[in-house]
Amino acid sequence: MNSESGKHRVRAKLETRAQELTERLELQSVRSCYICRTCTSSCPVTFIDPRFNPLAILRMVLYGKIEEVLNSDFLWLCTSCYSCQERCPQEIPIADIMTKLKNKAFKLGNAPVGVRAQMDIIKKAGRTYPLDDFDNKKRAKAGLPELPTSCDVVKTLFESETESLK
Amino acid sequence: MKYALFLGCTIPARARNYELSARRVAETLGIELIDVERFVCCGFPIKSSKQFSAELLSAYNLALASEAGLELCTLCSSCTSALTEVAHELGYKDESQLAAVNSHLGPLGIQYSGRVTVRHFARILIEDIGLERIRKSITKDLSGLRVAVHYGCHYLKPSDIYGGFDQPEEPTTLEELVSLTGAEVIDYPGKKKCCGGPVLPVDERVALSLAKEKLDAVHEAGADLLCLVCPFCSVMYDGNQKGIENEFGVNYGLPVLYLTQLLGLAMGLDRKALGLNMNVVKTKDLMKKIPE
Amino acid sequence: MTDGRVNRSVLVVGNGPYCFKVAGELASVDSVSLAVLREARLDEMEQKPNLVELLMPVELLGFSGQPGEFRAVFRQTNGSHAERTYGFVVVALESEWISTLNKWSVVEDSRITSLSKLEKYVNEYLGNIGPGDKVVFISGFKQDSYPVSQEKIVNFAAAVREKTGAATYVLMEQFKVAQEGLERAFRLARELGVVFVKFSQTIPEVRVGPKECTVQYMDEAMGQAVNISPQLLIFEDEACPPPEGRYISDLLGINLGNQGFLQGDFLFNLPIYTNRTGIFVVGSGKGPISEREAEREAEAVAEEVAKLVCSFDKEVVGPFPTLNENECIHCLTCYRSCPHKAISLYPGQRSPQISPVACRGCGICVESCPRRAIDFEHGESGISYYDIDKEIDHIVYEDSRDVPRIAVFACVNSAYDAYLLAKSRGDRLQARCSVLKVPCGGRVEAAAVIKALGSGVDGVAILTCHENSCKSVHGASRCRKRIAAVKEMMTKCGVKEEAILFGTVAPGSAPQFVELINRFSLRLQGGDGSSIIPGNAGSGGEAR
Repeated sequence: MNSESGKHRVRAKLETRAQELTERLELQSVRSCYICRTCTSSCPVTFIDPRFNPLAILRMVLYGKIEEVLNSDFLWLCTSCYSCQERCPQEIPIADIMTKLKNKAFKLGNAPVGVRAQMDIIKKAGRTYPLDDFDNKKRAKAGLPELPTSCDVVKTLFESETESLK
Repeated sequence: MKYALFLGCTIPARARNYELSARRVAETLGIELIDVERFVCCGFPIKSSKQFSAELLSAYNLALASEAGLELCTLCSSCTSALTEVAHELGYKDESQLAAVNSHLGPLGIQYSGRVTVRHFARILIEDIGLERIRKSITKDLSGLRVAVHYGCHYLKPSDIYGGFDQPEEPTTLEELVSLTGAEVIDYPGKKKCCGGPVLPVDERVALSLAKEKLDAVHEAGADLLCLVCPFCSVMYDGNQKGIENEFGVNYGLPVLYLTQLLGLAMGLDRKALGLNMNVVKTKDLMKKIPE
Repeated sequence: MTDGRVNRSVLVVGNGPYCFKVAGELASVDSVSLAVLREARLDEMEQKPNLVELLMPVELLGFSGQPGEFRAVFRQTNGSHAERTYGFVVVALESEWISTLNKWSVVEDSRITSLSKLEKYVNEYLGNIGPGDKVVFISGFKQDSYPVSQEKIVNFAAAVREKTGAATYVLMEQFKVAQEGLERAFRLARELGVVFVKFSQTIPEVRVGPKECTVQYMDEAMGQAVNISPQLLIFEDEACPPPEGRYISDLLGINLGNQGFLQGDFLFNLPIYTNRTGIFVVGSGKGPISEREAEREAEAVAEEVAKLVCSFDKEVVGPFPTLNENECIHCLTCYRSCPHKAISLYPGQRSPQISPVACRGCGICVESCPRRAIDFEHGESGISYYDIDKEIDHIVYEDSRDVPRIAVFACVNSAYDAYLLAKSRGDRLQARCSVLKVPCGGRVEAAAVIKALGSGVDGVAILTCHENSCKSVHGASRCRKRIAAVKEMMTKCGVKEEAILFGTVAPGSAPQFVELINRFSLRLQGGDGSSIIPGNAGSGGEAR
């Protein structure tokens, strides 16, 4: 192979970056897609807002347009309802792929404000809806046990920066 | 029968009616629910942003249950899926993963054995108590009610982690449980569709549109109430119903009840004891259809 | 056979390397002569078959006769004529692939080529391709695509992707998977990362500039326009029928199929059979097929010839036609109408001769003979379904006051089976049917239809195979035209033509049979508002 020319190198670099991302995020399974469109027709969000289309995202990954997906406003419209994943005849873990893409986008700072805020709250309080003494009073009144109002362990857990279990 | 009760985040703060009714129904059926004070968020809300941290939160909770030597009983479907997924990964795959997780739990002075079962309250009702035993506790006939059930997504999916519980494409468990009360379960289009909750912090309009679609269908089908098993779904259908009515210029007034509230009513439990006064959409008219 | 001697030699007619392969397969069973219509390079042959005679290049001038005694006249390059006799003929013409580059208005160069060129010069074309490069294959859009060329594209795409690391795209108008292993090839290529693009509404655009060529298209699944500047662009070729195909089919009396290819897939036959017994067609001349398949056909034809040779030794069973020479007026209608070319004229013979080996018993000659000089001798005793006249006389009509009585002429290849199946399934027919088994719709003469109508039924239905799958080639269409003529004649005579129905039924399709009969019955009862049964206006009146 004659890949010495400058143009060649630039092209190779671009291609490699997309390939690297595909491999690092373990997205190779998108290659099995044979465009049956079951995912899209199962998606409750596509029905409401065609900006989000699972098949289109799979195709973009296949074309190496991962960064375009990561920067998009539609990626986060996925509700993780697993309809697509359950029904994919090629057993592509579509919902899991969306999660991986969202994780990567979050890392790049591309998550919506609401998502980032949720993260900060959980980091700080260990819960999505932190409890205070007032809440506990209401709970007690209803005959429910009191719950802790602060949480330190999550901070320790968040310091881990390793890869996901899957 | 003894289980560690996993409440998660939404229930103690925003769905005390669910918690109350679940505890009352559990008492009635002789289920002992143990509170574990140190439980933290299951991790589900941050799975999309930081999966590994989410998984560690799940593992931490699983470790607490394993320390207490108890199975986990969940009320929220999202908690169920997050915890089950991690229990599944750590229980069935190679040991090295478990070791890796435990190395992160180590500094907190806790270890996970890799063997904790996680099940939703409704699944425990079906699998451990059984329909027959529940039927014996039913004292009121709710046959005047037309009930639409909403399964939600994570009660059943991803199905490969749920060990064959119910069928995600043709689920029956909620219908079976509701039918015990004598109420008529009615079908409606889009029964398996998502409530839209997870995109609420992303795009409120999309989330509310998803919820509206279902409210439309249930309303159209002539249901007296929508019955569900997840506090997040309830936030969408009960908590946000007024908002949807205003935003889209529609009118439902559709009571949304937790499965445990409906079962509790049929067991003759007091309306307040089941937290029905805390439901956002008023349930007073509904009560008129139930025998004293 | 005129003289009782059976010639067992085989003539293979071809136009390229494949006919040598076929001759090689046949040589193991019979003595083989090979007539190659073009000069082929013998040094390319792996192994020269053991031939009795090789005529190359040669022109086939004349052809006549029947299985066991086909006569062929050749003209060789030096102008000399040769006449030979053969027992059987195998046509092994090959189709050709031609480039579609001009259809895309592009010119071949080092970046743009056709699939067959790529195949030939694969190292030259792929030598400069590496990671980061883009390679695009285009299949279809300007011509029909075939599984065999798609398989080549898919395998090349997979190899390009795997060996060079280039981003590889295959743009396809249609996916074909109806070939052994093709779906698997698609899967393997996909898993290697080849991007396949399906099209349903749009077609790709190709632009060639001095520095780069671009392919622009809409990825319909992604909903986005895509712009690729490939370093290598390959177009699928177009399959062209063998240029000699039409001429050979005329001369040998075998059918042409789609677009000038020799007869294509036919419902009732093996692919290598033709409308003529003793003449076979193998290979891509029938339409592009894979090499594997072509090889299999070469093996199969050797077996079929061997089987046919054996059949000559046995006595002919089954009904076969005889010609009454005293009645024959030599009009040659039978000769012209036989779809299997089983009727020959021999110098010195008074009447046409019917070959019992080549005859398939469709009865079209019986129908067409103006002198009624041809009849069938009965093969099996007791069954004489060729003698329609007698059958009609024997129709026993059940008394029927409630539903119409219908005489049905049912082709044995389709409608008769459908009738039997409907009966065994217990399907309800809204008519009393007397079903006559006929060997082909083409056998049913106008007189039989009129006679049946005059025998006391309310209606007559003639049900044949679909016209494009008639076992006797044009039997069903002849029948349709004839029935139309009968109806026209009846209308002119003031008789309502609605009492006659022509219909086609797929082989053994009981529901179609039932629907046709029941609709016909409704029509006969005046379900469409006009009763044509005298005295039966739905009130249970008695039919004649």
